[in-house]
Amino acid sequence: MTILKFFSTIKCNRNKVGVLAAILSACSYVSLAHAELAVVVHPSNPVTTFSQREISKLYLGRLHLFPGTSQNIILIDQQESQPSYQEFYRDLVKIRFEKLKRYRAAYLFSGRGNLPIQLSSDEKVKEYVSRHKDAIGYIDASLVDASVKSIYQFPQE
Amino acid sequence: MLSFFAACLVKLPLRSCRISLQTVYLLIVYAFGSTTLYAANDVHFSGFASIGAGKLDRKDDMRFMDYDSDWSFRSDTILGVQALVNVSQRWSATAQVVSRGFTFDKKSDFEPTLEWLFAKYQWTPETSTRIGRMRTPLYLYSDTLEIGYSYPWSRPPVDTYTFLLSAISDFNGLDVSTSFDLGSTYVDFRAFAGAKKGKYLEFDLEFKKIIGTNFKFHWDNLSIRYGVTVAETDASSKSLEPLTEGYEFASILDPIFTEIAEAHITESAWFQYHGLGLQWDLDSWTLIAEQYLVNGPEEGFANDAIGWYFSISRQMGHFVPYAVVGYYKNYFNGQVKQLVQDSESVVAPGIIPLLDTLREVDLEVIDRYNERGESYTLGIRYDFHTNADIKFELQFLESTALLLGDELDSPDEETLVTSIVLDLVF
Repeated sequence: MTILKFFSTIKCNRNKVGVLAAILSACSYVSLAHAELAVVVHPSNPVTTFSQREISKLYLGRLHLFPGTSQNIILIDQQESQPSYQEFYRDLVKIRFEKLKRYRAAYLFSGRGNLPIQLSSDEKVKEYVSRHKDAIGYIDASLVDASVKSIYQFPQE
Repeated sequence: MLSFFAACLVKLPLRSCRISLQTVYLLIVYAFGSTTLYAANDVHFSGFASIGAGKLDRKDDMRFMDYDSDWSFRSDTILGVQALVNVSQRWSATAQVVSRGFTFDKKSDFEPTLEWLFAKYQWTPETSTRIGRMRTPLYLYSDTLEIGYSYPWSRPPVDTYTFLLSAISDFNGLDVSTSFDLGSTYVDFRAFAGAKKGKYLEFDLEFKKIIGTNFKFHWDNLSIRYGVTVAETDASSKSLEPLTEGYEFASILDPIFTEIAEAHITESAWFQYHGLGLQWDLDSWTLIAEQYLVNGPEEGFANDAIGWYFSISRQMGHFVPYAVVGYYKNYFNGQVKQLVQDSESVVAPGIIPLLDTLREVDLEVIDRYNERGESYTLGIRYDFHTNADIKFELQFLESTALLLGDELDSPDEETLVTSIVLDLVF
């Protein structure tokens, strides 16, 4: 796990020559395991960029409207079995899965708000976000097109 | 919707937290009815349940909650349903009805109780106001006392989540919460005010004014919470009436007996409740510790109390073994005892046998409140499903009956509670 984290911090730029073959192969492994993620909103959403901390707050239900707006938030989540989900919560929101589940139960039943809507694939998340002006979700960055607006990319360049 | 909501809240008797199933049904029907105005995803229903079985190792009549020496399913069994309605961009409403197998007012076993009913207005992304019935934030887990899924144990640690405070565990009023960043620290702040009437065993309690604040500081793996609540309190008990009447009768002998009678009354007494808590996640280990302090007035029928617990648990795959140590002490204020002793120099023991008995019984009653308790708990939680867990717990209690919520006093203070609890959220 530590080794993977170490490699994931190394920029996997294949145009660079002279990088050790071992690291390259590790990088290509990491890039498979850690696809680049994009946090996306509806194109009409006035928000243009988010910080990692803001995204973390959003997915922990600590922000109840989009910052700087009076716009509601519909959080779209993926399913636990999906790699995007695991990468998103481990590296971006930074919370253990077991803790997240307990946190969400406490959040819901203390009346603090709704839980995210879980959808089963990146495509479905993208489609939902493209149709709902209040929605926010995370998808594989390669799927981003004009139907959604990317406001954060992870890992960052 | 809001006017109905407000009317509903006003109609609910403050005295009782219970509402009829019919009211719940109406609320739900109304919530459904209102969906014609909004998108279907603006009404959210959810629920939780715990099914618990437990027994004590004692063969006498003393109980812990409703557990005795035979296996029973009542005490840790809870069912709750919640409706959350997004009325507009900034307004939402939440209602939660809970049915519990055991409560300390001894009346509402499995009777549906309206635990939460509030309207919320979101001022900014971080700041909101709620009006209605809410949980009093006395502890780390106050908001989720009944959501077994949200904590490691069979039930929140008994030394701190003391049953003495069960009557003030919720209130009717309003609160304001906000959050902000202080450097790398995320801060949650909440201020609230309200009132509540309730019962604890034979005591009728009225919290005429409840005011408090609550701070939570969060870092990546550490959360620290401090909360202080003050409450103007009236308390009365039919069980104390023979004592006060006896002293009032004795006041023809000397005014000191009027003073003693009055010292049995709690009227407009201000109590302070302080709570300090922390949760620290260290890799797979989790430490949770809390301490509370109740500070009552020095006069009248009032107490001070402290309690704490320390819990350590470790996530091992789907298993979470845990161990908890807890302590509790109640200090009854010394006024009654002092006055009774003073009165012995006015009317010496042996002169009026009836008065001697009265004083003797009174001191015994007072002494029962000077109690202490310890608990040692070992258990394991198994998350066998995304939304469900099962816990097996052994809890050794060394405590007088009163802390355990039983009116029977027993010189034998040791109890081993075995419990198995299944928690679900849906």
